[in-house]
Order: sequence, then C-alpha cells, then structure tokens
Amino acid sequence: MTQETIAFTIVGLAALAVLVGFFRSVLAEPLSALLLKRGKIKLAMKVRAQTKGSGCDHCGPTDKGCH
Amino acid sequence: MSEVLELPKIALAGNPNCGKTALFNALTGSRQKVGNYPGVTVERKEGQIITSSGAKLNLLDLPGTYSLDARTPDEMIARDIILGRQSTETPPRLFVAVADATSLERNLGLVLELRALNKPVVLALNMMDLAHERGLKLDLEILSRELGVPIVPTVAVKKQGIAELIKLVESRLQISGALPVVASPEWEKPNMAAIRVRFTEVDRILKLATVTPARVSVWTEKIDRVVLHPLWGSLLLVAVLAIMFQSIFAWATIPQDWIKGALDFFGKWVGTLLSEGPLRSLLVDGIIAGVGSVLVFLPQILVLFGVILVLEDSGYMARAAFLMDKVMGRVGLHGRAFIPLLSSYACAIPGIMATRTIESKRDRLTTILVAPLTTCSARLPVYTLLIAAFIPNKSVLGPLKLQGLVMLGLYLAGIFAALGMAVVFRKTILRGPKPALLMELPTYKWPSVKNIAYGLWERTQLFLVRAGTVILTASVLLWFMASYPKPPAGAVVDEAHSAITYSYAGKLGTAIEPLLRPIGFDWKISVALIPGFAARETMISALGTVYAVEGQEDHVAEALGQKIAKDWSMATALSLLVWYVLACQCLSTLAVTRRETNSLRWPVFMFVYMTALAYGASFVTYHAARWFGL
Repeated sequence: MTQETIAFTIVGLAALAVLVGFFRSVLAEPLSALLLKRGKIKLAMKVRAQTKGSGCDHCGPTDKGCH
Repeated sequence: MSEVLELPKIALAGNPNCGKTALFNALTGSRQKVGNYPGVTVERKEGQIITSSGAKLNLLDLPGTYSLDARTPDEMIARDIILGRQSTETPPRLFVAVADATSLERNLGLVLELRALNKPVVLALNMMDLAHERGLKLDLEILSRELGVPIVPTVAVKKQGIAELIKLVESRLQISGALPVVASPEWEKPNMAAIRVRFTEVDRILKLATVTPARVSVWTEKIDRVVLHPLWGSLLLVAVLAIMFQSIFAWATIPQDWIKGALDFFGKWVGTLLSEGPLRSLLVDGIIAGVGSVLVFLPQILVLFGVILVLEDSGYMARAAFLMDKVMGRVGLHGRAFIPLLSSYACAIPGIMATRTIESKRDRLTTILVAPLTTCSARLPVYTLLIAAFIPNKSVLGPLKLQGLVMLGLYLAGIFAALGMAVVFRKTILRGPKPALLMELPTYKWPSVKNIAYGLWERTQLFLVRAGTVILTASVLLWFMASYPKPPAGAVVDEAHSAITYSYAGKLGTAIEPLLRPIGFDWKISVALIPGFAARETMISALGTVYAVEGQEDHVAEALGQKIAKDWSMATALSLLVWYVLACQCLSTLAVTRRETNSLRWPVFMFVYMTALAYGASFVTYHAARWFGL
C-alpha cells in the first residue's frame, strides 16, 4: 500500500466519524421526535437509541470541563 | 440491562448537601461528583448494591429536596420518583432517608414526610463525625422510636456505617417483601398549618432525643467573620482569584516544557521513520502538530482545576456565592445562579443543567442565556497561546506578572459580560420580580486529597479522550483540507502564494475572510474557527495543522506560538481574545440549551446574540488597538 492510500483511508475514517457524531449528537433527537409524530414508533425508537447525550450529563461543577 | 431493571429498587432521599451522593458512592462503589455545597446532583442516578448475602439491589440517588412540596425542576424529579408519578420509573420499594446529623432541625421534616407515605423507610444519620466533633450527643433509640424508623449512623465519606446500612436495608426489604407494593402513595400538597405541625413535631422529637446539644462551630464563625465581610471578604475573593490565575502560568511551565520536548522528539522520530510523502505529512503536520498543540495545555488546565477543587471541597465556594449574591441580585440574577455560573467555568453544559435548581422560569432562562459567557476550560488553551505569544511576561504590581493579570482580565471580562447581559435580559425580554436568595453555607473542612486527586485524574482522562477523538479527527480532516488539492502545474508558489492557498482550506478561508476581515481575522483564523465549533480548543489544533502544512514545521507548540507572533498584529490577537470571550463557539452548548428549554428558539437566540456581541466587541477592539498603533 502506498503512503497516499493509507493517508486517504485515515482521512475517510475521520470523515465518517464526524458524520456519525454529527448525526448522533445533533440530528438523531429531532429526527426521532419527527418520526414519533408521524406514528413510526419502531423507527423512532431505533433512531432515539442512536442519540448521544452531550457527554456532560452527569457533570458536577468541576467535572468534565471538556467543552 | 433487564436484570438491573428487575432488581428491588431503593432510593436515597434527603435535603441538599446532606451527603446523599457520598453515601451513594460508598454503597455502590461508583464515583459520582460530590461537593461541599448544595445542588450538585440535579438528575437521578442509578447504581447497584450487593448485600453480604449476595443479593443485588438497585439504588437511586435523587436530587436533594427540602420537602415533597417541590419548587424547582430538580426537586420535582425527586418528588415524582418518590411518589411513583414517573411512568418510566418503577417506584422504589424502600427509601433510605439521608439526614445531616449536624442540622437535624431542617433535615427531619422530609423524614416525617417520607414516613407518612406508608412505605418502608430507613434513616441514615450521616456526618456523625462532624456532629460528634461539635459535641452533639443523641439517643438514637429514642430518636428511632419517635420517628418510627430504624436508624444507622454513617460517615459516608469515610465509608463508616455502610455495611450496617446495607444489612438493615436488606432486612427491611425482607420484612416488607410480603406486603403489597404501594406504587403511587397518596400525598397532598401541605398547607402552612401542616408544615408548622411537621416542624413542631421535629422540635419535640429532637428535644427528647438530644442528650447534649451541639456547640456552634467556633472556627467556622471566626473564619466567616472575615470571609463574609463585605469589604475584607470581597478583597479576599479578588486575592484568591488573582493567585489562581497567576498559578496557571507560574506552576505549569515545567511540565509544559516536558510535554513540548516529548512531542518535538516524537515528531522528529516519526519523520525519520517515513520517507517524504502524504502519510508522513499527515502524521507529522496533521496529527502530531494538531493534537500536540492542544496537549501542551494539559498542565495549565490541571493547575486551574486543582485550585478550584480545593476551594470547592473546603466550603469556600459557597461563601463566594454568598458574597456575589448582592452583585447578582443587582443585575437581576438569582443567588442560586452562582453555582450554575461557577460550573460553567469547567463547561457550560453542566452549568446550564445546574440551573434546574432555580425555581422561576425567567431566572432560569436568564442564567442559561448568560452561562456560556463565563470562561469555560476549553477557552483556556486559546487564551494561553495568545497571551504567551503576545503579552510580555514582565512583573507589574510587585510579584504579579502581566500575563497572569491579562488572564484574570479575560476571566473578569467573561463575568462582566454575563452580568451585563443579565441586566439587559431582565430589563427587556425576561422582565420579572427581583429574586431572593436562601442559601445554606456548609461548614469548612480540610479538602480531601483523595477527592482532589480523583477530580484531577478524571479531568486528565477526559482531556486525553477529547484530544484522541474530536481533536484528532478535526486535525486529520483539516490536514486533508489544507493539503489538497495541490497547486496546479505551473502555478506560482512563493511567500505570498504558498501551496496551502490553493487547497480546500485556503479557498474556504479566503471565502469567509471578507466577513471576518473587519475584525482583523485572516483566512487562516477564519478557517480554524470552523472546527472550533466542535470544541473551542480545536481552533488551536487547526491553526497548528494549517501552519505546519504551510511551513512544514516539526516544532509543534513552540512553532505555533512563534509563528502567530510573527504573522499577526497585536490588534488581531486582542480581537481574537475578545471574540473567544464572547462568541458562542460550541455546538454542544446549543444542543443542551435546546434540550433544557425544550425549544429551538432559545438556542438560536443565544447563538445570534452572542455572535453579534462578539463581532461588535472584536470590531471595536481591533480598530481601537490599531488606532493606538498596536
């Protein structure tokens, strides 16, 4: 494998991680609510299972100063 | 998971700051955040207890509440779970009422309310060590008989009385096992007469059960005479803050140099392993330069939070809240807003969630809207980089250094911006009556080394995880954007038109630049601000990558600081600092605001007002600095 192939594979994985992260943290919750409104309960639950909390849900004042 | 759900459920209930979370940690072996001030827990937390007979129990840690007559959102969570009103939650089979033994007059009211629900109740009389130190002697037999509940004395932080408590809980569950579970016990909102009767009953019981009353804590009183004094207390607060920010620069230099040296060595070593090519560039210019430029700030973050943890654990922070109440009241903020605002120094997200302790919707919304203006830890690397690059480290005002004072100034700017915006909101869109503060001051105690060490360890882990996920990903993508496409054949590549200007990052930055040029930002800053939305400090790694790709530098953090010092004017640096004080550069904050306000309107409003404020202030700063010839 050439250096270029390995480098581009790493870039591709990073791009995928960003897309998945964006979906889970921003899109999944409103999408699940929308699906629920339209009566697609099973799909809504599947999407909701993908939602990611902010990651700071259980923070105390000096916990997790990660943002 | 299903196994956990089917286990008998017991709940810890008690007043704020009576040690529920410490007891929860001792019972379950978990490490939830505990603090020496009220309102640390604002959500239910769940864990598992294994009894000596091997039986498993589910334990809920509820937010603190003074009564079942809940007034704030966090108290409502506790009340609804206690009363079995939450459809998603199996009602607890037994309550462990937790009471602070040093203030039973206040704590026993809730115990009487729980007892009236006709469910098994066990009382954990916590902080017995402090009660003994103050000379309080209780006849636990009389107390238990009069309250009608069995009692176990505990010292949760020292894990004393834990085995006895688990044993008692197990035996009470076995006794009550044959009885039908009362899913939703009957409860009526008490009127004033009923509340008076309850507390008269508490007084009667305590008179009977008290052998020797507690002495008033002489030390706490003596210290508070200075710490809570309007003048001396305020001066002390300023001094504490000044020392805190000086220490960021003074104490972190040596470990920072070690990290810089290690990264430098690592970058060169990787460079020698691979021949010139895209993978080498990705590893050295993208990942090591990007992630490394953020990693060097870990010691400073740890110094800052080490000091904050000591202040919190000692009980000083609640005094600081008390001192600030007058100022907060003047700008229309509830005194309880201090804890959310203080939490926002770590991260706006727990800060926004901590507003659940504020009962009025207007007060809560005002606090949510201004919380992101306080300086979160993600801003610290940006501040440090710019201060180190542009502010001389000369002594001013005796031992105080200019760099530390500028850092203090930036933190104060965040506070004043938050207070100023609170005034604006309270006088315009969120008008309402002036709130009053009722706040409990904890006793002073020596900070626990274990708590502080664990807090710092946790912070290190989180920082490294973040560096290895969000920042690493952003660095990889930015490397690609800064490296491709390559300049076309025959294109001019010189000082003015480096190869990076032909890349996606160069083109994107150039497209945004006209918008940000009036505030002094060039295309490199413009492009670095974009990944900064995922995490503020990612801007540093983005700049690190952009400059490394442009200059093919191997000296990570040192090169970035030196490079921007050469590349930017002082006016640009000041403008960027002001931008970082005021801008809403955090998607997660907007997401949590949407969740907490249950509306899209408020996060949109937050983003718009903060961006407008940041742009306006940066514009003024940039042009004023240029006018002064900086």
